[in-house]
Amino acid sequence: MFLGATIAGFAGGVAVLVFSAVRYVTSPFPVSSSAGRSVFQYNDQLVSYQYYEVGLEATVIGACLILLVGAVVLGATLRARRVY
Amino acid sequence: MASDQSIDPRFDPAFQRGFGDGQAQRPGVDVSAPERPAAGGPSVNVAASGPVDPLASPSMDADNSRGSIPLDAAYVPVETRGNPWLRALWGIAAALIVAGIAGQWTAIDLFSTGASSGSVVTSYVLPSVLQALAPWFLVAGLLAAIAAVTIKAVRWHPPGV
Repeated sequence: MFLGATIAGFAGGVAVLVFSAVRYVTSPFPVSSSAGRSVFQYNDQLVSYQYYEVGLEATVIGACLILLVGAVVLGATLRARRVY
Repeated sequence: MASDQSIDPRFDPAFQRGFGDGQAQRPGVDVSAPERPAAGGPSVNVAASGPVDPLASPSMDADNSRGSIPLDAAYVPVETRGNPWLRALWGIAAALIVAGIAGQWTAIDLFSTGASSGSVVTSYVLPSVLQALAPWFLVAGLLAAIAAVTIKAVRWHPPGV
């Protein structure tokens, strides 16, 4: 159950990340004067398109990865065959 | 293992395995001698030792042969060979470490050269995603490797025990 919840959380994080990236690509690009590339002039100011910013979904994916490792460690510990 | 031959002549047989069986006497020891000789090593008069039986406590060999007490309740050797979870842990560790290093490397490369590709995904999306996820991959992979090594170390036991 622990392993299943971890995999579900990981899949959810990936889904949110993909959804967010698709929304960024299909929307008008935000401009920034401090970060990005393709610098151009806009309203007498040098700006560029802002990079896509990853939100909390990266943290969710990373935490689920660590939980996945923990689940496998738990399985390896409990699965250990006892020899008398 | 506990036989007459296992008595170590350097030490008092009363404190060695197999002494209480009534036949565990060190070869060459005169059991009728009244006291310990002054010279000639630590020989002992086993007959004068009386009914001391240091093997009254659970013994690994003697009691195991009777099938009464397990080997040792405090030390239980655990076999880790053939454990599919441990193999999976090693695989996950290797995959995550490689993915973390490759992701970080690719993110740096895309940040520096991705603009020339002209693609929005490779120029604006992929570098950010890789830069955000690669450290997590690396940390999780290192944790998995450390856990696998720790399990192997904890479960290790000397050969023959």
